[in-house]
Amino acid sequence: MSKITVPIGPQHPLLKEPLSFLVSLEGEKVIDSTLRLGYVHRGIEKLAEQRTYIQNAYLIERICGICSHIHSTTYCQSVEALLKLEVPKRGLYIRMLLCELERIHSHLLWLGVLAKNIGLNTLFMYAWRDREIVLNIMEEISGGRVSHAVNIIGGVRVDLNEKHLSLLQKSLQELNMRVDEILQSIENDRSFRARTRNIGCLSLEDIKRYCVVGPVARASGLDIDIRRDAPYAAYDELSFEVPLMTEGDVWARSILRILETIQAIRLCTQIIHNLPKGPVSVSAPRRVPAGEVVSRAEAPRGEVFYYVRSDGSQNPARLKVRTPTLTTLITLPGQLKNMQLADVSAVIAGVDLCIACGDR
Amino acid sequence: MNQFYLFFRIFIFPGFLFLLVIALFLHWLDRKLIARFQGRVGPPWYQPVADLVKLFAKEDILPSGTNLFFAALLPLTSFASVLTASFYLPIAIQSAPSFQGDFIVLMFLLSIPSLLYFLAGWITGGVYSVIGGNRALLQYFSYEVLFLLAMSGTAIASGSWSLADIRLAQIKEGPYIFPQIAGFLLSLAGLIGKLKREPYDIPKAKSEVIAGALTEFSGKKLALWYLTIHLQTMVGLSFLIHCYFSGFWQMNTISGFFIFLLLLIILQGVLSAISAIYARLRIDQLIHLNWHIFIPIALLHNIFILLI
Amino acid sequence: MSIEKIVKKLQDVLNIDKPVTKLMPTNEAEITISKQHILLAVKTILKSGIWHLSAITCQQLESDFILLYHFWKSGGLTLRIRVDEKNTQIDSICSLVPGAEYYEREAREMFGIEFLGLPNPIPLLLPDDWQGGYPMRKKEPPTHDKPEDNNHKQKGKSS
Repeated sequence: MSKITVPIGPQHPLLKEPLSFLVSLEGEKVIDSTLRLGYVHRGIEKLAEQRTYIQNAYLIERICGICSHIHSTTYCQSVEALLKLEVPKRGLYIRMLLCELERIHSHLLWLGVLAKNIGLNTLFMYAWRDREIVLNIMEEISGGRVSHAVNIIGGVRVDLNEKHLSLLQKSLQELNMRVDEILQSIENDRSFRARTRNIGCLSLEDIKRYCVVGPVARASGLDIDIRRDAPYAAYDELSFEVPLMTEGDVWARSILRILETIQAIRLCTQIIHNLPKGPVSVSAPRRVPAGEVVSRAEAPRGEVFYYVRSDGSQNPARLKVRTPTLTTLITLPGQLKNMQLADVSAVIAGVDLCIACGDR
Repeated sequence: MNQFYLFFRIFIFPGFLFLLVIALFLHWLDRKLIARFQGRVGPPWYQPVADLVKLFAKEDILPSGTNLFFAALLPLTSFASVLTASFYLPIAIQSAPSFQGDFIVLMFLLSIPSLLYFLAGWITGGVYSVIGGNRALLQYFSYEVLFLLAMSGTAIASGSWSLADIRLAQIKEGPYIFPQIAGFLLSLAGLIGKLKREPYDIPKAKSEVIAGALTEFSGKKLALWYLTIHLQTMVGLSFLIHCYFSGFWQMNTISGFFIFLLLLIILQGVLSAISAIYARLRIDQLIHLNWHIFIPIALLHNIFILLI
Repeated sequence: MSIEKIVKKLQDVLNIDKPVTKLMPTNEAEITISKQHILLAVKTILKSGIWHLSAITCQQLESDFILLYHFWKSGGLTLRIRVDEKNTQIDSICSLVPGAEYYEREAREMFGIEFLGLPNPIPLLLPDDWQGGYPMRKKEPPTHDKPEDNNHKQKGKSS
């Protein structure tokens, strides 16, 4: 049979963001694939060197639309470590609340995209309808649905009042019910299983070799979670479980992400019940003393890594960002070997790519 | 006067315009129902008309190297074949006289658009069109057979290959839906496969092959392809109703027409529900389902009817 | 093995007597090694049970380049390597840690470090026909492809 090369991207209904993925087919079977990034490369690291630390807090949020708050959290954490600032507890709790809300929103978005890619449009509509609840909460708290600009160096710039807390309480209960329904319907849906079971398997060995992080790694049995292993913000004061599965296929990743969503809702409920009183931020000096710092956080897609070096001036000397999507992208050609063309959509959706994060 | 009457019957009622109105109504119903199942509002009643008007106004471009004559001939031929098929099918109003063997002719005319869909993919070239066309052909070989086999149960039971005789047999013995419920369900599955609806819409799966064989079409040609699909749905459903539910209504009466319309709406609702509930199946799962499960049941079903 | 033990082992294996510095926050250890020891160091680290490489940071200090290999296992361990401007070659660790490929490709295209043995030495983020040099180096101003028509056409002016 002859070989055809199907270009998936840069523009394709399958992808949310541009990515060039050339898949070589023989009949319907994939024999090879090549990946090319860089369509949304904006040079964030170079830009960061020409802006002050305060301006960078604005820039860093725009690395990605879906995980914007976690990026700014990690950045602010690094600079606060350099400044040896201690952020008040209330500020840390509000930071965590938005991180978890963002995790919920990201996983619901991903679920819709996966459902759409395998043809289950109804689940796509339901997941994105439930996502509106989260987006409304985030808009009430911060003023923006997707880009919150809540973090400042030294804490957060918004506070939660009684109205916010009661809205959160009500919405989280509703969300809990809906996500439970979604989990039940997915676990029992035969057509969903048929399209995702044994597709895109990654073994624990592959995960370790490629240094994969996040739900993709946890679905193959690797038990890592920065929130538990190296707690940042105030995660050591909250209790939560880290779901773990061993099958390593797209189905396991789906179930795992929904379980994580349920845990995130649980964390949000704990946060609003245990919110400490006090200020939400401290003032931060403009000049950061010389030093280097490494900071990690758990984004919805895995471990996000920041390295900041300061030389004593107002601008950082080096800002290095490593996003979790880079670790999962490298496994894609291996996952697609000997799969069918129809499974490419399930696999690509299953790893939850965020190309804007990967390209920076 | 006779010529004007003929013109009226062919183009207005119960001809072209009438069929088109019903087909677009069914299409609107489909979209509205799926939207409601998904928690959305759905389009207003004039949406299908608006879509067609918009398509007719769009520029018609094709990739260079496409044979323009055939690229225009294919949608016209498929549309023409479906319209011809609809003349032979009585939609509660007898349009063309029935003859021995018109069951098979109707089957044949209804299957031409699927074949031409595959050819359309080949003519326009491009990776997505070719893959979509190939998948459509594979699906065509499987689900046309299923449709024919399952529907033949009614012809076998009535002892004739003429639509009028099938109807007369049902008026005498009662509608075939009750003794042949399995055949009806299999025909429905075959129809979904023929129409390339979810969950069998792998030839035009948006997330993989953009729009399948029709990726490169635009403007009037695309409008004709869409009209073909709408009419094919309506004719297919009417065919099902005629073969399984005849006897519930009187021919050539207003009440008969409304009962027929009600049955059409119910069946369209069933199709929309199935589309909303299931995920798209892969091509190999589709073929496996067809040849390992549906066809054997259809064969057994027909043998059972022959013996009884 | 805990991070302290691994650091001790590295010091023994590579004959390093320089003290181990600490990156912030406090549970991140950093050790400086020379570039010819990179493969041996990574082998030792892998054998001690650390497999997770978080990132490879490259930066330019005065005229030389500093490569930081950030490893992590319930505690961070960073290898600091100085690469001369005149001789920017270093062994690639992709044979030991396949996940380092993207990080090395990015360091290569942004700073010009040559990784010997890199499996896929094509640009990761920059376009294939990029002519602007190594963007992240300090002395070079950030260049970008100037589009053909940079002057905004005024209304009414003929083209």
